[in-house]
Amino acid sequence: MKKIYGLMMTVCLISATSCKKYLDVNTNPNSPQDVTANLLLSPMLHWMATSPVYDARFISRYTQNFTSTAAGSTWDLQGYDPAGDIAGQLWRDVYFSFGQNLVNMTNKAEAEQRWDLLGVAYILKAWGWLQLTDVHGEVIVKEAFDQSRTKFDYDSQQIAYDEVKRLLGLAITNLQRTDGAVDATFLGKTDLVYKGDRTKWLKFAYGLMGLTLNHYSNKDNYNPDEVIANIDKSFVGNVDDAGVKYTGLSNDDRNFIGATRNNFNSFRQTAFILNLMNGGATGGVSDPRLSRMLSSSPDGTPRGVVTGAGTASFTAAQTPFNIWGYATLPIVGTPTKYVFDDKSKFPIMTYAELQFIKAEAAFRKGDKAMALDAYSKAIAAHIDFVNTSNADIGGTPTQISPTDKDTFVKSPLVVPTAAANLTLTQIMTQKYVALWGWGFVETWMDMRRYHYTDVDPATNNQVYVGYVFPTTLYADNNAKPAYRIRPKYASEYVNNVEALNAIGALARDYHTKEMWITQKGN
Amino acid sequence: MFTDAFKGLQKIFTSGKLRAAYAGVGKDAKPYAYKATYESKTTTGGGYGYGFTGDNLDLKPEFAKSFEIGTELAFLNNRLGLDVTVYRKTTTDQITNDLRFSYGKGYVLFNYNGASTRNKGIEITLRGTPIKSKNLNWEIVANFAADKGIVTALPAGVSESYVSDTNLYPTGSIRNGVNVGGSTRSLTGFFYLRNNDGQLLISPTTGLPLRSTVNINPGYDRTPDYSIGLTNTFTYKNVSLSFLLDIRKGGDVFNGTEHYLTRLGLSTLTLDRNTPRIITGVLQDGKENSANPTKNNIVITPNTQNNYYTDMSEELFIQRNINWVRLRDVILNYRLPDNIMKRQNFVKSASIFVTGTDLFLITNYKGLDPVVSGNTAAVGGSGAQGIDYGNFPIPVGLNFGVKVTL
Repeated sequence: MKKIYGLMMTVCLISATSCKKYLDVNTNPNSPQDVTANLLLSPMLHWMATSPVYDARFISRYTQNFTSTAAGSTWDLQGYDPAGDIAGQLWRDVYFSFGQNLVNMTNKAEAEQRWDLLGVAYILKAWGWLQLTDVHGEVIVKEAFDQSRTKFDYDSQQIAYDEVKRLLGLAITNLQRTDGAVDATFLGKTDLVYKGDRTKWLKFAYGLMGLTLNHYSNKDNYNPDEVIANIDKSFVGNVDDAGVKYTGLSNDDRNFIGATRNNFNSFRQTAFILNLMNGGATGGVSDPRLSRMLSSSPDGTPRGVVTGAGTASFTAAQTPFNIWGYATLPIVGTPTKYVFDDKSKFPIMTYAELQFIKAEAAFRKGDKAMALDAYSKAIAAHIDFVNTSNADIGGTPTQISPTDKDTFVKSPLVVPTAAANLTLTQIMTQKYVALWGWGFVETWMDMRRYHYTDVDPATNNQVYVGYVFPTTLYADNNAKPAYRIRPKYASEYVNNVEALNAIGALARDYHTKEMWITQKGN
Repeated sequence: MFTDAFKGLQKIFTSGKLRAAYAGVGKDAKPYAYKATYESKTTTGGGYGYGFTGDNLDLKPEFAKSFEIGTELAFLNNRLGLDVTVYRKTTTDQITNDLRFSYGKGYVLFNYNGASTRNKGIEITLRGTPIKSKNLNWEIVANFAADKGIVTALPAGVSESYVSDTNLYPTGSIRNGVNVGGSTRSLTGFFYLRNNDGQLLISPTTGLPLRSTVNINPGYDRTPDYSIGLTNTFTYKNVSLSFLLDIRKGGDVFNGTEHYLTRLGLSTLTLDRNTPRIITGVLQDGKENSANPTKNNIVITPNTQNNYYTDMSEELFIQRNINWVRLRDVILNYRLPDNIMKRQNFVKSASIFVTGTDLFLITNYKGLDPVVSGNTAAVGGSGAQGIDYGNFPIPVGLNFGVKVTL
């Protein structure tokens, strides 16, 4: 009898334990519900470089970086897609790819006293809000990521900008710390941009702060000194440039603007960018970067397509090649150019970009000598950047020789000898060239700050000389240019309509409503 | 067993039962559904990030209450039998999977409690043996089933819940969406806008009908009114023949294949593309809901105005009230006689059979086969039954076989 009881007890115990295991439907054995903080970093850095390029398929049409081979394409006409989930990648990535991942990374880094990782987390958060508000205007900031909500109200752009500055302040404070568990090895394992170098991230935070503050150029409280002070603490040369080098072996880790992803094959360089580089806007001085960045055509002459006009009117021999320099889509492994390769190191923010910002701030402040200095450093740095980018991918173009570089930067029509002769047009159009093909959001912000066609009172020339809207804009625009992109359709127009209605985003011309940051006043 | 109580009944009434049942059943969520999990990412540098589905730490099992009454009757020495069941089932706190909110929440999809549905239905089974003799038997079994499901609530104020996998139609909007008050098996899509009298609204600029830009459902329902399965079995000595007829009445089917071909100009429906026409409807000119709406008078020739076809709503290809009668299968079986089997000890019994499946289909459906489902059952929810897009009909099958029992 005892034996039987013993046996029954054993059976009961075995079944009890096995049942418990079997019934655990809460802890997923296949996917982790918790990971080490730094493992969350790489995907976010990937999207930091990549997400704007997704939306660039549309933004680059407004800024006339590229235009469609087909005539009258909606986005070329400053239009938008009313019922499509288009141009919503930054929205997706800031709220979802960053989203709760970034919330968790921030909390973990703080709890584990990893101040360097925490600083990077604050940079990512600030960068995300800045991109998002620069593209969409009013966005969800305060109520974002609140799990108790199912409806999310929008915040004004001013609140978004204040939040960006606050977060960058926190980033700077944390990145200055060396105590606690600050560990370059731990951060470096997943840091695709700076390999764990805290000091470079600190420079990045200052640079992004300078860039953010310069967006206030139309505001009464614009403070060029603050812009300059921040940039002076940031990048000191191209060596500090932030970017992500794509692995380029499978779909998800290839450059989105690279040939194999095939997202830009129906786009061509515009007449606007060609005019800025072939001497049209610089009194005949041709830019040595032209043949390294832009594409030629079968007859050997580079041409630009007028935005909205399409390529149908070109003869076969004169039709511009695609952005990779070929008539048709090149196959995997074919050498391409500039930052358009499957394996390019794609920039997030560069030294040249920041020097142009410094030049603009100094110019606005009235310190033209400082402006000229920053301006010439910026152009020289970008010429080096073009060489490095092409060398890095084994690109088709030859390197720009030191002589060619020297000739260009010493040409008075490009870089005036006397600081007094420097113009806003020169600063802004050279910045446009340096950011062409990658700095999409910043370029669009620049152009909107100058309302696309503002005239520089000092020269009576358009700041963006040669920029022309298509004759007829998209029907819903009521002849006004685009100033924002509507929030992501599937996220907001389907699931958050009340909040959209509150900010007037249901209007058919909402995308033409000028944003707070570019309006004059406060 | 009321026949036990009234003994005199048993001459006609072999047996009779009355049943009533009430049941409450809880159903749990999918495993691991309450907590978001990390996925390894394939973007540059690898690493981890959350999948699309967010947390819901308050997720609880859904609960179904069902009440049914039924009777099982047998007459004439079990030669005739009748089972009837009437039921009503309400499900509350139903778990809605893949619910969407603003991305501001940080995830894309959520599992929420909060939907409610109500099902009412009747099931009748009639069994009979019209002929029963030493050599010849004939048995009939008929099943009748009718069920209607209504969505009575959806969680968190969402207006439509759907399974995105059922939106399998390229550039199309149609899917198995449900709305409060509608059938659990409705269809939603960018259907046509109509005035209060139900007339099509026509754009005064294009002359084409206007479509909704959000998914709407004017009442399409894939649920059949009823279905019947009829089995007849004849046995004569060693030969038996049985066949199952499948009959269905009502229920809508979307002919996506035809819509697709029409948009491409490949359907025979586009043969009259050179014929000018005026689409019947009223112009959306502000007077569409007045007493005298303007009748559409804009002439369209589809051959030169391709969007006549390319902008056509799926709505035109939803066929209402699809009925069918199909011969599901026929089995002819011959069992080898005992006197042959007795000559050896190895095989106990053996038979030869011929089976035919889906030998004929009679239906008012204009596509290939209305029994289709665009997805497998694994998509969940009400599935894609009745969404016919590129589906092949069930093939006619003929099998010969030998069955041996050792």
